[in-house]
Amino acid sequence: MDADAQLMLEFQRGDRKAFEALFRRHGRAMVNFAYKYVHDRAAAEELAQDIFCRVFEAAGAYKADAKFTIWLYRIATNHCLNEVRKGRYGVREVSLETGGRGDDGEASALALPDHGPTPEAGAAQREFQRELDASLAALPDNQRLAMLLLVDGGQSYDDIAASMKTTVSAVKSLLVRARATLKEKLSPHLEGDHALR
Amino acid sequence: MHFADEQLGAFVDGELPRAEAEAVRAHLGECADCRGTVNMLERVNAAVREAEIDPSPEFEARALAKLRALPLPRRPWLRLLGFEGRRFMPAMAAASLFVVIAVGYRNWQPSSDAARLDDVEVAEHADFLEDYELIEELDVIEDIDKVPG
Repeated sequence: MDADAQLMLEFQRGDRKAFEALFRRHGRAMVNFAYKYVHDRAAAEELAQDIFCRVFEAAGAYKADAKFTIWLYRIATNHCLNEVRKGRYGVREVSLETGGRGDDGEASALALPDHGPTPEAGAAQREFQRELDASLAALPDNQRLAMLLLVDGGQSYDDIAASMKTTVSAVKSLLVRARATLKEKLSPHLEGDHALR
Repeated sequence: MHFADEQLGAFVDGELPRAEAEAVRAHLGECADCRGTVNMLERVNAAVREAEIDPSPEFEARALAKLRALPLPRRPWLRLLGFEGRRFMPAMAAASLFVVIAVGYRNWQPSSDAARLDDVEVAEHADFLEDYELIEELDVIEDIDKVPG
């Protein structure tokens, strides 16, 4: 049994500290998952907080034979989809002109690990970050969600299909379209020997 | 011949059956176009995966405060039996206990199968019960202690 499942079992027996440990293990990942979905830091933190409240309340239904992260991302998917459908969080446009900053001046660009030791490489990396941010934001909701569940959530096609309540072939189609868009937008940055190296 | 983007994507994601994955791997050794596509898909995945924001410094404290304010979730099996819920239900809990004890006692009886077979035999000859006058006279049995051995 993995550490997450063990913590969930301890929480099911009433140990709140075990749940707090789970939050500390996965809180940051949930903020990032939500951020890449709604492209707004405050909204992402609120979504992540609400996702953990849902997990807390549904903990009694968790069975240790299921991988915790699959279960977590399933709840996260449902919550993000529901909240966005309610119109509570609009996906914010991220434009290159604003330099990845919102109206409040808050930095919204995703930060890649620093691979650029030279000023030129640093500038290329920042430009790539803004393009990635804008490209993810521009994807249709379901394509972006499938991509995030695959890459951030580490989920299989079957798990993504279950989380999104659709078929595996639909998931494959969503991923092909999402990747085609990302490839088109990011290829000028990815083809050179910068940004990611 | 090139593999479709969907197949190459599934290859990168580790979703192809082993034989098909081997075929793609062999093809990549010969086809620069497909190798370029796979490389691009891997780099897109890596870019999305590695891109992160730092949550605000207040995020953890705020979220933990909200979680600490939540009541502990109820355990479904206890709720089902009436021991937990919005309010404790003594009648439901008592009924649950009675059922558990009754079922346990019935299953615990060591000669229950034999007893059931005896019951069948008695039932097959139960017509004598219609002659209940005979039974009424059996009240002497109440004085069985007085019967000389």
